[in-house]
Amino acid sequence: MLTNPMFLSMTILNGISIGMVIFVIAAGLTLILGVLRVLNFAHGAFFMLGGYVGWQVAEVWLDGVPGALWIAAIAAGLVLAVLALIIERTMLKHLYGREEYYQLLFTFALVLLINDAVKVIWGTDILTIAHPDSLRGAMDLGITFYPKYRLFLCAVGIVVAVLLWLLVSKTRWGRLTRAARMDREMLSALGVRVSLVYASVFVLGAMLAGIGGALAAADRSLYPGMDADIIVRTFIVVIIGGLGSLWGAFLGALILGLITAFGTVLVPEFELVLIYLMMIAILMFRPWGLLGREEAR
Amino acid sequence: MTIRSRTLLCASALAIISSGINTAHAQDDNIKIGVLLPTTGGCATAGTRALEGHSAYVSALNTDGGLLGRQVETVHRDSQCNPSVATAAARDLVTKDGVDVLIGGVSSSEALAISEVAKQEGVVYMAGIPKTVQLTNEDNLHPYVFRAADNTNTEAKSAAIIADRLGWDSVCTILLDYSYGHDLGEAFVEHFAALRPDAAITNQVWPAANTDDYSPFISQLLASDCEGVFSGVWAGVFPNFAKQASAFGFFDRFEFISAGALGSAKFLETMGDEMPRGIWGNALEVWYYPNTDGHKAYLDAIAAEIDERPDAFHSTGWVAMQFIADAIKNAGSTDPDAISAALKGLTIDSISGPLTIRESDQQANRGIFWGQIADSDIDGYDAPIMSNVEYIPADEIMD
Amino acid sequence: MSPAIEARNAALVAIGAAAIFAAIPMFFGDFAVYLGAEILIYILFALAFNLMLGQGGLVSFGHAAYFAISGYALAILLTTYSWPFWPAFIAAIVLAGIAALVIGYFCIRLTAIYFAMLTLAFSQLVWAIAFKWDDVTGGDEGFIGVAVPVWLVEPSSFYYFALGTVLVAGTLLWVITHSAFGRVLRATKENPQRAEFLGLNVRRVRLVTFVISGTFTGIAGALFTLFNRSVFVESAWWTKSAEVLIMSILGGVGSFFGPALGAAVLILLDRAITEFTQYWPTVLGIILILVLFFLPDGLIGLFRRKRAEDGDELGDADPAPSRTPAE
Repeated sequence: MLTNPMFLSMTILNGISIGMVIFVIAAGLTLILGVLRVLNFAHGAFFMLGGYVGWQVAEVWLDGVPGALWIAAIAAGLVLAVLALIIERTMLKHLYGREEYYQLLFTFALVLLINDAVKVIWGTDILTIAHPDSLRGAMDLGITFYPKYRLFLCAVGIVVAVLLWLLVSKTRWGRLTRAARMDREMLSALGVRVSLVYASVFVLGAMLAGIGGALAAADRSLYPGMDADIIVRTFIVVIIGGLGSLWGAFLGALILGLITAFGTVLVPEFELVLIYLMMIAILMFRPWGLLGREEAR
Repeated sequence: MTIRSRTLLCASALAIISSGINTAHAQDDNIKIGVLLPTTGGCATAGTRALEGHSAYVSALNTDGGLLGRQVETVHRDSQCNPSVATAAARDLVTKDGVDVLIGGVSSSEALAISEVAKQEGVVYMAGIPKTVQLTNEDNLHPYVFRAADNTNTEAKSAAIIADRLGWDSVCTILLDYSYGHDLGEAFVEHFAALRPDAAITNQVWPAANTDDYSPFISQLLASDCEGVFSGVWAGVFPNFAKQASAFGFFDRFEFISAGALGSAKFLETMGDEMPRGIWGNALEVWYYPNTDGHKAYLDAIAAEIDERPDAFHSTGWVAMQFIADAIKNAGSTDPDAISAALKGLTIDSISGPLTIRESDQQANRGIFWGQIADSDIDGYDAPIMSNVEYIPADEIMD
Repeated sequence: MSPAIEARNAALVAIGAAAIFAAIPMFFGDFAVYLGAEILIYILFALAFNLMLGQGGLVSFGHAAYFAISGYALAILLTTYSWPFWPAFIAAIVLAGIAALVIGYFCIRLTAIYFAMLTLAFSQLVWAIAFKWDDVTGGDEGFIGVAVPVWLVEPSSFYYFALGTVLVAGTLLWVITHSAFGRVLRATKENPQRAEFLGLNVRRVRLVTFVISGTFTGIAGALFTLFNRSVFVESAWWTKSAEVLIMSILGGVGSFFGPALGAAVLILLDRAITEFTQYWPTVLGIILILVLFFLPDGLIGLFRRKRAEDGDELGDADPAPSRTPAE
């Protein structure tokens, strides 16, 4: 089947678009991991909540308004940013420096609370956001046709990667986050308010998950508990890419997407275990992930 | 004694006291029905409505004086669509609440788990929604397990009948990679081959049950040479699939018949414009068809209970409880063996006509309504509906 | 506190608890027996898990794997292959230990968060295999109707079997914790570099701990199969791993008996609260946050704090996790 050029190119695009959706979540997760050293179990729940907020805006408040989805995505990002700020300032910041299972369990508690909140507010029925009119249907790419909205999601992933890279490598804020990662005490001795750097990283990560959730919700459906599946795949992406590595997460997401797309065609019986086997294979040769660095601990 | 030992003693004492208190309130004269339906988790939509349907029946029953001169009481536990939870909850219902009968389950695994407890504890279990043929096959059948729902054979083989009528000569399938999907696939392929010996099954794809991106499966089908697609992508996951498939032009390319309750009213209302038109779906009950007195009485009872238009899943709770109520009436007692004996061969006057539980394998001969999804032609109702609804009876195809 | 007194106290706790558990079937019905059996099984699960977390400082987020592997293995050996009970029971537990050896081999090369995530990913692999291999495991429908030996069919006879097994296994874990190996393990937790300096092979110590913990988790998993007479793929899903972590932290990871207390309290709370509301996750989330912020030593810390105020010496536990300020 893969000898058919149309099908081959479609499969490659499937892989990339699957990967790019996960990348948007993984980017925030890996950023938080790298700087705060917090494994945020609630990142999948942030993604889900972003989807629900997006639905509320696009399908209820602005139903029928052109461009509602774009407003919904921004709103989802803002809501998650505010929520993350509250969580970080009131609770999470008191857990930095404690054993990692404290943070793990704290974020797990958030997963439970967010899931129940979603159930109370939006119920258990499945919800979906309509594709925006401008991106309905498929586009002819010459060699194959492909849904416009999925191409858009690929673009979103790439734009997020580039913007984050610019932010981390070219701005003062980025330099501070990298410094905070290396030596927190030194930075605060230099008079930098490390606490605010931490807060900003957590907020940025949550905001990305929120925006990603709203945009992805237009190509899938929303239901309470959807985060439980996605968080594990996001972890895998972050592990194989290397914890804290932005481009590692990008690479990991692409690998995961392509393995899912091609595995489904070539070895359908083993598709489910394939990503785990790939992860083990990578870790045998690079225990710290593809682009990760060994930590002295 | 050390503090730590005191702690443990306290905890153990607490355990004993709390369990002691809890067992104490189990004695009174009501007939107790233990209901295990998920109101949270992946199949909460179906579970919540089945529970409402069940409650509607019980309310009507109690208004008429209950059963055997006793009131009927429902004790509900959330089974969370999880067989481990269902096992523990079923045990609690029997050993602590002292229920006389168990009803419920949505997923196959929940049903098999509850059936196992029913066997161990010797209590009758009636499955209202689960369709898996495993529940009542030779390995798993025991005197206390019964099914009021249609089974996977009925659902898949009635789909094959429609595929045959449409004249499909090459068929693809997209079925979820778990027992429901496998059972559907097997029955469909077998029956379709019997109906159309020359037709071919061109390609079969098996997405995982929790797939959130169907694109690899959609493109495989698009690259296959088939006239029609038989699907087991049930209502709980269909929105995801439909949205992604529509963007690929999937429903313009293939005729599509899907198992999994796509004709349920609430589901169609949620999907609205996103629901592909022209595909075939099914439901266990359709609120505008048939126009019989029994059906109307049911609609009124549900309306009294929930104050909205009933969904197909409401009927599952209703019918399951109707079987149990009639069996207890006929048995004249709540003894599990008497109920079990009364259920075998029992015929009820159900909302979709008479239904009988076969003595041989303790399943009801419940058929299923099929129709083609279309714009509504009912005044004042905007959501898509099933058009040209037809009831396909189960007797010939349920094995 | 001298080791002898400590051992005496622990023995008192164990005997006291065992006596209470042993009395349950005599005074209460099947419901209490089932509930008690479930608590016993989770007590063992939590004790086994906490050998890694409390003593070794290793956060496993994938202990569901060993619970499920032994659970499935016992079901399959007893039912599909009709093995006699004891060989099947022991083989299932050994298999969990072997799985822990293989998975541990990869995981102990990493530390902290990396370690937790990798254990999680491996347990999901186990889940995926159990889900896919339905000819053997029953897939999503689960493995139903395990051929439990006749002498374990009565709820109370299984209950006493479970009680005996948990007592023996718990005693062994206590001995391991307080042996020379246990001290070495704590040394690798408190200061791995120094432990290396002193000539300890930290990785090997951790691997051995991983295997012991996985094996004892396997005992709990095997008991759970006998208890339910069925195994479901949900046993391997990651939330099961979260559950045992929650039990341990709720009870107190710094103490040997803390996780046991946590297991009992969590199960009782779950049962009591789900009777009134479907929002048990919210209640649990709030409890977790309260414990994290106000009871860093867990429920057992409530008692220890009181004792410290009374001027008593501290117990056998490690001191509460150190707190370094964030800024």
